[in-house]
Amino acid sequence: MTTSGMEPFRETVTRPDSSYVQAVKEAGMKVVGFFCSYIPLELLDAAGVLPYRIKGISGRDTGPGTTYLSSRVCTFCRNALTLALEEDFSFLDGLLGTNTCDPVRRASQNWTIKNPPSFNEFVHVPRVYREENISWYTAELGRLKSNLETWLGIEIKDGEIREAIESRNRARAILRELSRLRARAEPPISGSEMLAVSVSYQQMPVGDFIEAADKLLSERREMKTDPGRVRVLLAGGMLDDPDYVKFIEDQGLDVVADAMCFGLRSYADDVDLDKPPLEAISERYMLHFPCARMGESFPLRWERMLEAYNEYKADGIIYQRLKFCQLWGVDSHNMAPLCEELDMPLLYLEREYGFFSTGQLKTRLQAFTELIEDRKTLRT
Amino acid sequence: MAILGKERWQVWEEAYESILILQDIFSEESLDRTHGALLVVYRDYIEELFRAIDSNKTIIYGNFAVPGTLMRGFDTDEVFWLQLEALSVIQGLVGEPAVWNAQYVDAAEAAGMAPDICSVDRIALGGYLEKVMPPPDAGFYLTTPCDSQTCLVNSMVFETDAPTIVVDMPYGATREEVEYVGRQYREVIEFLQKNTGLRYDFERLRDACDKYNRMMRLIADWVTLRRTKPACQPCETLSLMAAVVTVFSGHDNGIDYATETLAELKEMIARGDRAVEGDEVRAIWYGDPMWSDINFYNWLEGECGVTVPMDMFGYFHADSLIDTSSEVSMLEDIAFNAMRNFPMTRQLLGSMEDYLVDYRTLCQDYEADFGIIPGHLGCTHGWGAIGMMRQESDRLGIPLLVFEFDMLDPRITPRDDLEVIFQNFVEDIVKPRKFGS
Repeated sequence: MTTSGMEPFRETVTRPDSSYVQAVKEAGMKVVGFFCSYIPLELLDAAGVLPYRIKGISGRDTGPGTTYLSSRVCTFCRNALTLALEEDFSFLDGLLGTNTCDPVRRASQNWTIKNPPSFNEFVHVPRVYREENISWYTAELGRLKSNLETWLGIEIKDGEIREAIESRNRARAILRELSRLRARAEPPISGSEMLAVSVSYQQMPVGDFIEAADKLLSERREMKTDPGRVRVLLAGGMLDDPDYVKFIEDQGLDVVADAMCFGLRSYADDVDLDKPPLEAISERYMLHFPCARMGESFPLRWERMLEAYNEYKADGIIYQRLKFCQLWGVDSHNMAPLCEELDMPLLYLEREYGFFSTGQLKTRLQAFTELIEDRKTLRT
Repeated sequence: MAILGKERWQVWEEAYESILILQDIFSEESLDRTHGALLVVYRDYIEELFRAIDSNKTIIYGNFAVPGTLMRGFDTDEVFWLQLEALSVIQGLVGEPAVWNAQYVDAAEAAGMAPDICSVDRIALGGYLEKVMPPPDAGFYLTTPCDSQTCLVNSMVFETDAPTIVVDMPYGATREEVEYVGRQYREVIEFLQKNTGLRYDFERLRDACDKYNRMMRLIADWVTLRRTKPACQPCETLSLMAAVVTVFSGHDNGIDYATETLAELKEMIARGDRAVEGDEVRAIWYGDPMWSDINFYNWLEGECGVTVPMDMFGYFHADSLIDTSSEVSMLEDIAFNAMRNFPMTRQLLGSMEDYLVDYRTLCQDYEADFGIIPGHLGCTHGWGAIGMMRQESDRLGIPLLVFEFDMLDPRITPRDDLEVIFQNFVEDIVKPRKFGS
């Protein structure tokens, strides 16, 4: 299953300085990198800069990153810091650090000390979401807006933020529609393709993204595909590598839904256009489908995961987590009894960024597929 | 044996029994005032825990950085605040970590918690799953000092189903950030009153703040006097300080402990005691303590000739006393204390510079010959600063020893291995630099 509609996204996820990034730079626009789904793209769009979510490069040696972060920190952070130290992100004009998690905070701190970009801000994103915390984040976004204005020598007007919200809402609506195609019995878009598209959403100019995603949606709406296979929901922490998902799918599974920060969590929720823009953005980002970084967040995350599981008619859950990622090291504990209670097969995969032991993984995935198929057979 | 006439969980029983045995031993060694005081405060703690269960007190769970002073605005006849880490630390100090901590680590992992999460939090969850902690009526947690603590919150909310409130700790400690945490503390008080039926009394809090200030003044004097050269008070005393301050802030036991430790140090200085016979090499222990094997510190002094005049867990500051003039001033100063006077949060939660500055200051003020980064396996924010720490040590011209271990689980790095690591580093690098080959 492949169409020309996928080309822009494939290109975007393959290399850091995609043709879109190059075009933006040639046009004199600035590019600002960030690490986390809690950073609002809308504010950067409104400032006229390209928001660029940091991802690594599969298979890249992480030596320099490991020197600064040690081998006890996840391979994603080591990979990303390596790219920063080796100038692969030299097209970035700025970096927004966050307290997403301790390793991401340390990676961005090491980055800005060793190779400082011209604009360098740290955004404190609260880890709980009562009214007090949401107000705090609104104020934090106000500070970020003001610092962006000073850096760029511009004023960011409310109207511009509203326009940016509209565009991003539009982009997210297309993403949701594309994703919903996977609810069909014969999904016309694969999980790996869907991941490539949603990663691109966080790296491409929003206008270009809407155009390309719209085209892909038109193509796929009409597409006839092979009969569906075993359907799984892919959950867990940071995963930006479509090849990893493809490997899963190559073993006879369809990844029909996900609950990951580069995936559904980044486009499941919109910003309310009827509220003052910064307040609306703050609410959307603080209250969106939550990451495990948020305290007390598991019940809400589980509820959203369950919704997706049912909506996409999944047969099981694959839960993946990067080795040393502490935030996602607890959900596995919380999910296991719930999955058992609801009779939902669960496969737990621990992985390294950009590398995987294909033989072992293949065996486990094939066994999981057989398990689900046997259960289906027994039921019928 | 039975405590207070009742059979109890074996893990607490054994710790209690150890305390009584050690008290017998130390009563004959009247010079060891720090240990004597420590045993008293932890004996009282365990007794208080069991009284709380017997009298059906409200039990509130908290994590490592929850300020004890704040909790004392509630009537302690009605409430017992149980820090989830207390069990593992007590095992480290007076129990058998190789038996009990290991058992709870395994229990948490068997229940699906990832093995790379900090052992402090795996033990807390494992202890809860093994039912050696009374079930809570409510939970109050802080998102500090690390990710692993936030993970623990998520699992405790899931496991206990008790009403829970979490306070978000910001990146720095600016005025706005302090006010932000102060306002959240106010929410905590309202939340706990509403969900437990307890009544909060700011007069009681004021009394606790006064006690906190008295304790912190004593500790500040102790922190300054620890600069004495050659070092006289044993280095294990350092790692005990945070264990006491955490639980006994705003409590008479905290004052008693600080009084005894300071008095002991003054006596040692007056007598001209030395922690190490002969020439000492001085180190700053910059990270988690060796609670998995507290005797290691004695070996370090006795066999290796290394003294540790200051570490991260003993480094408290008197510039953060609590202004008791109003409710707001108390809440905000308790907030400021949690941000800037609490080990780990102070150094590790915010900027890299916060972390490096304290290291630099400690090395200079305490005239360190080398630095030690105890690489606790679950401490990702410590590991994430390791490259910059090496650079900082190079800049200071001070060798840096980095080693892997687990602060509560002695199975990770055997004692023999640690001894070889330290011996080699001190003999091959530190001593030749200081004394010449």
